[in-house]
Amino acid sequence: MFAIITFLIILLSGLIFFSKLKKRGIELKDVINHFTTESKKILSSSINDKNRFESFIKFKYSILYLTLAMFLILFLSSFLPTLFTGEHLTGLFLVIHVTLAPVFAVAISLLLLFFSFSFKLNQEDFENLPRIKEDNKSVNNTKVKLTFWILALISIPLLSSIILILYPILGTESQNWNIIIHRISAMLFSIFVLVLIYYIFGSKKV
Amino acid sequence: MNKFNSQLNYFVTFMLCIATSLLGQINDSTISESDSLGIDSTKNEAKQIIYKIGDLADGNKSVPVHLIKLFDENGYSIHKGDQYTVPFSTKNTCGDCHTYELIKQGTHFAFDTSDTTKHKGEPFIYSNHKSLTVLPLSYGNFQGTINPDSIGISPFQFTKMFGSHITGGNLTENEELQKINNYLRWQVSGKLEINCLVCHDSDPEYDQAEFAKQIKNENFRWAGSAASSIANVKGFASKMPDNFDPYNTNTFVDVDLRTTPAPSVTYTTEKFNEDNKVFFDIDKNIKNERCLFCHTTTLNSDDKKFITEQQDVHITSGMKCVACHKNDIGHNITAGYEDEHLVKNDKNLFSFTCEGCHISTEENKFSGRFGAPMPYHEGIPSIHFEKLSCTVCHSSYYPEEKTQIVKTSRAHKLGVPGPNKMPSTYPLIQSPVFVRAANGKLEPHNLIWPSYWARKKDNNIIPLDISFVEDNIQPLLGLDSLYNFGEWPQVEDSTLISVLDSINIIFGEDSKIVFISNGKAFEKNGNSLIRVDFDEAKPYTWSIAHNVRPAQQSLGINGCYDCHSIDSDFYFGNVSIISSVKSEGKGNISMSKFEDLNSLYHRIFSFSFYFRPALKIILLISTIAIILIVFSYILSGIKSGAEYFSSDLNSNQENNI
Repeated sequence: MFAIITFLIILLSGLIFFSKLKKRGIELKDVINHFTTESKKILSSSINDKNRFESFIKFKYSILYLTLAMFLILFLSSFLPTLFTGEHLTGLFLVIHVTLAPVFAVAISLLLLFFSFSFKLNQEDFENLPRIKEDNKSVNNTKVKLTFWILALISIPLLSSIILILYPILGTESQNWNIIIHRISAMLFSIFVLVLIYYIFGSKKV
Repeated sequence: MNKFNSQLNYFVTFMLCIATSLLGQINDSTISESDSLGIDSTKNEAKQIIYKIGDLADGNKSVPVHLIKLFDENGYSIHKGDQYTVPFSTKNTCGDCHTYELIKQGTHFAFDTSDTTKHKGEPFIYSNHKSLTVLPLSYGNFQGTINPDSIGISPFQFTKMFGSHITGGNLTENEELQKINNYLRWQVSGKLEINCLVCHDSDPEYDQAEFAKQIKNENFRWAGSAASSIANVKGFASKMPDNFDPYNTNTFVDVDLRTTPAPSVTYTTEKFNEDNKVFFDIDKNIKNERCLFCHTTTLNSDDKKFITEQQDVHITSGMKCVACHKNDIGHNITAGYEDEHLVKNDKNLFSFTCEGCHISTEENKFSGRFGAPMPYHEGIPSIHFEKLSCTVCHSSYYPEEKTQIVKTSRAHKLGVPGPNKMPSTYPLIQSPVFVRAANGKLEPHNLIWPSYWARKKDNNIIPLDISFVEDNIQPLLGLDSLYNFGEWPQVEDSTLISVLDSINIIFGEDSKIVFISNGKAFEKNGNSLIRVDFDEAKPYTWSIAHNVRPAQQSLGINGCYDCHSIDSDFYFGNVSIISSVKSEGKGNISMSKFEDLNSLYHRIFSFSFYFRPALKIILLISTIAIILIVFSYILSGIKSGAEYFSSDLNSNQENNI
């Protein structure tokens, strides 16, 4: 049941995401091109850059792209088998998921460390709150910030549910609840990643 | 009167049998499998059954006193001091109050195992090391077993071979099966009726070993009486001539009665009261020892057995086997395996499974009976319960680097006089082997490697009659060792080729003789031996659920590494290949083959567990970092919000001023 509901929600979110982007004249290939070119730029730049500030900026962005890449792999390795088989994650997918999960955890915590200040809500954002439905650069910026913090909040149950499973603290029934929490958090996280991307690209076109 | 009736009955039955056989009514080939088991006929009878006084309980929890009259097989009551003493018949004695026809459809008697295509049970094992034969036998169509009929084991021979550990009934008393070649011997031995006392007699003097002794002597009709404490049986039906009539001494006048007396029974007169009634200490709540006589599994080696061998945790806590393995008057006993309620289409049976008793759900109202504790299973992800049956972690012997060799009551004739008590007595049964069951879950099983001689015709394997093998192949093999323990005997390729050569001549070109061993069919091709894989050669395994170990001794109690390590016995333990062919050596098969798992994947997966501690620490640190950052900004946000609202308020106040 969960698999069907999740599948429908993710499908619906994806469709809304792409149709909204299309309305703004942005194709999926533009999104992919953006990420690939940006990540290529970062990878091609020298680590021993003389400008330490520039290097740090590049490092920050490399963490961003690493997080996105890890998210994509974790998303595919978990949702694909569970949605299509309806069973618990197992086999090669489980190995991939478990191996890359710590990388994702480290990446997302660094991401928060590096970007949280930039996404700090300021007075302008509070003023934008009553006008949140409006579509202008300032409001969109607030939306991006809010989505960022929602993602940060969701990542807490996403990771802590797994930590609780890994330690022999909870019984099987509680573990099942943890799995459900992990799944729901992962689903919400995925949706808000799409929302974040939408607002980032949306604000560029506005 | 008794004597006259018996003689008349004997004569009439004999004449009828001859007449019907002449008319072609009795023909081995026309007896279908269901006919031979008498399943359909008994079921039809069941529809017309009228319950007797003892079939249905009135609800009183006490056990009725069984002070009853004894009846012989012809229905005549047995009196203290009768001149011609005959054994009492359980069919007529117990059947006076309990419907025998209904009971005989039960699990132990009818061999009606319609659900066993999925759930394989313990077979009867014919083992003869001198002819290199190990055959799992069953009338129940367990996949991988052989029907005794197909290898020339008649019901009479079957009863004599395995009767020590069967309860009698149906197969051992079905007149349809008393074929012409065994007919006269059946008349001498009598039928082996359902021996109700084997389970229900709580009298400590009841002696199942004596029952086994009587079966060996072919005293089938006397066996039940002999085992009870009220009668003493002497004599050998096996030594009596075909025309033996216990009431007519002229029929065994040529037998030396000093050394081989005719079967006779003497009753303990003190057991009869003035009304010629006898007290039976009958209990519905069967003693565990009664079950364990036929259902014991023990380590084959005496090495440290006193430490490793232990009783089932349920038994230790005071429960009885029948607490879970229950039945009604139909005697269809619940096996308790996971899907029994689905197979038998009775949802109530679920409560007799491990899960049904220990896990409470809304649908299952019967959980927790006998105070069954609810398992917490700390730290065990639920995927384990999808992939493993409860018995994997909690039952049987703890897996070791090499599977252990065990003895079972039925395979090794435990409990009867004169078994070989040496370690590694044949047949060699390995345990536990983790096997993927029909429901996709892993279960611990016992395993034997079949080894037998067969004909290969149109790519079908047809086992040879055991009498043919004993008469023609056994002498050629020259394995005349009396020792039936230790390493299973092996022969050279040359011996095998020579035997196959000799036997092929007997069968001509119609079919080819093959030898089945260690999962392969060996056949002669030119001057060499070729090995072909055949399904019929695969090892036979059957699930085991006992002994249940306590939680502290379950698999996984020491953490994930009990199973998820690169050298875990659960995944990579060795199952011995027991071959009768020397050139095949003494190899092993990894447990993962039986588990139907990819060995490489599980080694990689198990390897990843070495990094689990690091993974846990990384995740923990990352999560703490995220929590700190998020909450510090939340606090900061609250502060900003407060500043914003308070500044807004200040500006409004200024405007008002």
